[in-house]
Amino acid sequence: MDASQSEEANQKQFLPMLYMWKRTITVVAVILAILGVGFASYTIQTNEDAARVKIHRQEAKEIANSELEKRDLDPQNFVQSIAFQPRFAFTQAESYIAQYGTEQNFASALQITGWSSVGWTVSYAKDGEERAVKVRITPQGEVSSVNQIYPDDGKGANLDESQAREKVIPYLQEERGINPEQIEEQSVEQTQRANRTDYTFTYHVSSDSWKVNEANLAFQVDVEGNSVNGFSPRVDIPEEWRRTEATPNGGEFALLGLSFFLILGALGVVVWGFVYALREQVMMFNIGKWAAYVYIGIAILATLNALPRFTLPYGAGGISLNNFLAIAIGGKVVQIAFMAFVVFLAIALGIGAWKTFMSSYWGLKEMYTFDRGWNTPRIREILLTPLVISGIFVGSQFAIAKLAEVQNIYMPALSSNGFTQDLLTVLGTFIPAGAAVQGFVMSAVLLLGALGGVLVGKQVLQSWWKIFVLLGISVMLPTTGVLLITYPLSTVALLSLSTLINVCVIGLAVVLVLRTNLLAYVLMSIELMGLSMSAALLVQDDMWIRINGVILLVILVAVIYGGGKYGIPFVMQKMETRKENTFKDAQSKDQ
Amino acid sequence: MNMNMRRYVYIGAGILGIGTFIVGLLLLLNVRSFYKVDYQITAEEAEQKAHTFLQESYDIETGKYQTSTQMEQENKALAFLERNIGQQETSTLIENGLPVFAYTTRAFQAQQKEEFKVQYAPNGELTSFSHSIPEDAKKEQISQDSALQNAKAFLKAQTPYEISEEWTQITSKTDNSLPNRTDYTFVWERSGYEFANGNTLGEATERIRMHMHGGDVGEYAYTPHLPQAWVRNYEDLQANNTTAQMIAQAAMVLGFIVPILIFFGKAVMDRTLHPKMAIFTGVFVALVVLIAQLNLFPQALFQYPTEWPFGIYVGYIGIASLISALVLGGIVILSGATGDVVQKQVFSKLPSLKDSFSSLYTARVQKGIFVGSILFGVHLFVVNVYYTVGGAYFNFWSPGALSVGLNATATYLPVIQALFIGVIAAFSEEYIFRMFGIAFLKRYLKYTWIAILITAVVWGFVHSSYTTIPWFVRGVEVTIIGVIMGMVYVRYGILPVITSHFMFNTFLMSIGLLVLNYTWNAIAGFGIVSIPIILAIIGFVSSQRKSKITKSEANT
Repeated sequence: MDASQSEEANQKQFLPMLYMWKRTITVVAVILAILGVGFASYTIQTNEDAARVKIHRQEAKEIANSELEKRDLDPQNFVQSIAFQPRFAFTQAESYIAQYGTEQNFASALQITGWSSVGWTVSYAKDGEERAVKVRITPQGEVSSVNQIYPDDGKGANLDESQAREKVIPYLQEERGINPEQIEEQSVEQTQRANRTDYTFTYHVSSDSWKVNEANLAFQVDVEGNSVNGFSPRVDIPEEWRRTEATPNGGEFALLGLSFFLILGALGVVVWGFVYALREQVMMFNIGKWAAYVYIGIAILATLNALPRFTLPYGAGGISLNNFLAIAIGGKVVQIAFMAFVVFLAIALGIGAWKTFMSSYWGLKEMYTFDRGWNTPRIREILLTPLVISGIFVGSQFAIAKLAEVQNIYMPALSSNGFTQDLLTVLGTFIPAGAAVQGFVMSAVLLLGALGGVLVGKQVLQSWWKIFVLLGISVMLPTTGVLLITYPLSTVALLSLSTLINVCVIGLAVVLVLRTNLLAYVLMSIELMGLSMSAALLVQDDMWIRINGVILLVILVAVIYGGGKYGIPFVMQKMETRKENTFKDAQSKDQ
Repeated sequence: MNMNMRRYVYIGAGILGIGTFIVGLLLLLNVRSFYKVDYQITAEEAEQKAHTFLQESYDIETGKYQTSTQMEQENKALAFLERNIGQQETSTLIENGLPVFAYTTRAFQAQQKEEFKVQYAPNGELTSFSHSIPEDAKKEQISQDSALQNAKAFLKAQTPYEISEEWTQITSKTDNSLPNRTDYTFVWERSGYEFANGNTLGEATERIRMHMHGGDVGEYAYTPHLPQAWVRNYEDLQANNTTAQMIAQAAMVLGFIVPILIFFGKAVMDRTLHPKMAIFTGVFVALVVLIAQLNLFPQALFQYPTEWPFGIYVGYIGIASLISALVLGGIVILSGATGDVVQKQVFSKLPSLKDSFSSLYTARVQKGIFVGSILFGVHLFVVNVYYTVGGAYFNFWSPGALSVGLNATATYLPVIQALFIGVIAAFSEEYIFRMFGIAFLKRYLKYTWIAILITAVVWGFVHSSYTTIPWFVRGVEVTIIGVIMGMVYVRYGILPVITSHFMFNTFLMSIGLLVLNYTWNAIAGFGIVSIPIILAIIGFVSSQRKSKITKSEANT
């Protein structure tokens, strides 16, 4: 029994109740604090009215179906797919509004025209026909845009310009709720087709109703023959801003260039690290192999879960459905195989490096079994450490975003806006919680591989300090450089600060891992990703999405607790049995 | 085999190589593949014409602008015409100014939105022009009718097309959204027009699009417009090829690339890796790639986003070139080094990489190049007989090889691209598919012929990148070549197949350059093709002389 264990035993002997309470209160307080900061950060940083999801996948599909039925089209005759996506085409406009406008501008753009930077996309296409419809729906359930592809030689009326305009105005009033007095016609395009006449009208919302500096809230209406077939809102931003603001300057480009070389250098170091690990027989291929099999199983399940959005890129005409499916399935198989190979390498290296270089540290069984409940301080430490690190990470991002806001710079916190949008892409699946699980398992595996690399690097360089400095530079500069592309309006200083904090968080995580065990590291990434994902799901307005947030939390607890209670002891026992059998076999052979 | 017998075998093989080469070349040039377009202007002349046009029509000092010219090709339009009216007739249409194949000159200034693009058909006719100006540029406000008259006047004065009754106006657009001017767009269409040789475009039509900045011409484009249904069918045909290619690529990644990585790791662990020669060839490939990427700088200029500072763009291109050189060089090193190890385990009698490239004075290297040269002739012969017979008896169709050498038009020295295509494919593909692939499969499947066939099929269908009818035509063609190459590899080692692959690719590119009127570059390309043969002859003569000297010294 070491000193800490005897101290713990003494405490338990004299103040058992107080000890229990102190521990529980600490755990609950930390968890609540982390969740609180995460929620606050998310709410403040997101254009909340525009991004809060009020309908789930099935509801969005029903709204889109009714839009088709209005056009006398039977949705059942189409190949359907649905996804929740960020509208990347709107990213520049979003930056512009964030720079020159207010939160209110986002909300009113959504209210007037249905312009939204995220939303549901429901796609309908016909195999072998030049016919497709794409309906975009806002997270709140309003139809944002409808685009229909109709054959060039399709039949329709030959309206003149004023007759076509007479079709548009009632459509805008009745279907879109747009007041004609609020808009100004900007352009009209007439196209004479073989069997009909088409028109495209473009309108600007008048500056009394919506104005952000020199940008205009606009929308386009397509009239094909006798019917209004298309509606697409957009924000027109000045060309000069697009050309100049989004271009890196010399200093930024130098950083970007340096980043490329550092990434290249890091890749070289990775290859060299693998060669070293191979030569020194560090890698544990058997564990890697089993991890790859498990990954393949998870990836297949995740693909099945994401079936609703599988045919989203399938468009009208051109490629037939069979060819599309063959290409898409082939691509998926290659992707899964490649990632399985990455998992194989990461696990073989990560666990192998730990076993080889850190064998004097606590073993897996001693560290993480729930046989004695919470009664080992190490368990508490490895479960709470990730939460503390998560708190530091989320809090720092929140602070950076605040700093950017004060300086009037558009830079949404990585932990909230852009990050959350990525998380929300899981909404298009059958069970969003399932899709989220794949994400955090993958993240844990890759971090495990990275830790293996750190341990191999330590062996070669014989210095933790050198490793941390190298790690810091090779992570910080490329990350900052690459972020310049994503957030062109932010400054190098701010991005550097943000990345520096991230590097410190990573460094802290590595230090804590070395204090505890490899498992803490895996748990940390699972907890971090799992908690942020469930937070993103829980804050939505739709009940099914919230339920998925809860499911994710339950899965998280089950993975951590179940793993400790049953999984690890089972694996350890199996391994010991195998070792004994091997020993017995060897003995019998010797005899 | 005695010396005399061996001599006859060599002479016979030489005759076989030369014979198959001549027949293959004749078939290539006369029966299939290349369009015979009479280019009345070169790329340099097209650029000069563009300068003159801009000076005369827009009164601009072209010296202040950077320019870049490249040849552009409309693949779908070309395929439509070839399928509907035939290759020869399509060539005549191109000569008469149909812009499915034309020189485009771009004139621009760094960090200025204003720029020009001027396009000329091979007969020197202006087929497209655009003048991009800032959104807020001010222009005189005129009515739609006046803009229409200006557009028609431009067409009459600058192009061979005058808007008469045979043209129908199908589109008109008035755009008031710009702050300081009103823009107009007009599109006219003509169908059933008979060209000089009596040909029409079939169901396709001709379109002229004019975009006016107020009263000034912002864009003029004369293009063939293809029927929507045909385009849809064509895209589906293309998808068949893409599907086949995709499956082959998946097989390549799972069947060859991942095993290469695994075997590389194993070789590192077992310390059986001797990568010196693989590194040497990888560095050579990386250097060729780097030179070729820098040679393509005029093409990069063509795509330069003018909002970027010029120096930054140059830096970006430099970094991108370096990265691609390192990646491709790395692939060659990895596959070459691993292939060498696996080959040694499975085909222990075949020369290692070191022996294959060791010295020109060795009979093994001379023989390897000799066999490779014969294989090159056989390759040319087989491919062209395949398409000639397939076209005549089985309705095979593959698009005319107009695009061979096309991207070489926007380079400083087009022949470098021929060298690049030859070197990169020869080393990377032969290392992956032949040296590693066949040895790896043979190790597990036991039968050499199955290993050769599987690698040939995967290699063949990885090349199935463009539309053919039926979809497997290209894949089968390359598979047949893959089987022949595989058989030669298991008998003679890697050198002959690398030699043959290099000579074939470089030769085809050089023919492309010849067709595009880059005569001197094409001659230089043929010179590069013959380098392996020249080196082998020099090595042979030197070694013969050395052995004679050694013999006479021994006699003395």
